[in-house]
Amino acid sequence: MKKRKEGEAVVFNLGAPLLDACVLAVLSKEDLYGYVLTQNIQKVVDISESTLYPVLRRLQKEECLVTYDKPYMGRNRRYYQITEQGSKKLDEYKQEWSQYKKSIDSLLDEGD
Amino acid sequence: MRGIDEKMTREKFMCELEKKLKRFPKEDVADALEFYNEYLEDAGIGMKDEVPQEMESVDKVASQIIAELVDKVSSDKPTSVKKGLSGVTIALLSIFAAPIALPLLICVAALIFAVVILIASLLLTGLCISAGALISGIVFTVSSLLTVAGTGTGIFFSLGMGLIFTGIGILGFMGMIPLIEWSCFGVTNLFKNISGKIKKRA
Repeated sequence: MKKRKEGEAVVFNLGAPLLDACVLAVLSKEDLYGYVLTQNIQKVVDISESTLYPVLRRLQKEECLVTYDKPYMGRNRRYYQITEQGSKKLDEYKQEWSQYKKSIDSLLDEGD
Repeated sequence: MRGIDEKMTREKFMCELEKKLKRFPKEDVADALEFYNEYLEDAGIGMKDEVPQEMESVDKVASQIIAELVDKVSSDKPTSVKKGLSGVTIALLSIFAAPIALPLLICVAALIFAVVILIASLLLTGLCISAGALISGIVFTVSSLLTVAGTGTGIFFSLGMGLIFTGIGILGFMGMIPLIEWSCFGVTNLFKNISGKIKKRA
């Protein structure tokens, strides 16, 4: 059974492409490391800690993201950075999303 | 034996995750472990502290990592037989990593084993036939060239036969190589589908 976080019910499912889009959008503003990236995504959508790692791996494989290590307090933090290809993909997602949103809105508003 | 409600500490989580992933490619495993180690460190969770609730199920975390690994190998078309075989290994391991009842696991494993053996034996048969044709072709050719006593037409007849068989042998080998690669690819996908179904059931 799927657990929901305290009361804030998420009605709609977040599919893989939309999750990819969210990650790319967050990283288009600044490079982030795993923990903060997860926190930022979790502010908006209800995903578990373990969901994000495979997404990041996939985006890296598709050359939408690259990583680099930065020393922090005697250890390394792995930062994720969006690539040109990632930005292109994000633009595609944005267009797709606004079209999708419009058509769903028009359906939902039809009754009014 | 300790109680079931034993705390899932960061130390224990990392240790169990490593155990679950130990048969997968070292590079991929190291990357995943590093990610989770860094994540927990940044979350301010010490080695003896409990991990977040979502991470309590190491099986779930591991299966998500494995699913991505299997996806990776079967979406890259194998460029060589060796690569194809490593894909088969990863897919096979992912099935054994899935938490299902043991009898079902044994049954599925036996079935898969049978399929793999069948395909392997068919491929081996093909290779043997090709090798047979090639060897007899070479023998025919060489012996016809060495036969001095034969009549003119006789020499050309056996020389022709020898060359034909050699050709068939070479063609057979050339046909077998893509067939072997294709089989590895197919078997990987088969495993992927099966492990997907098992996960859905579990």
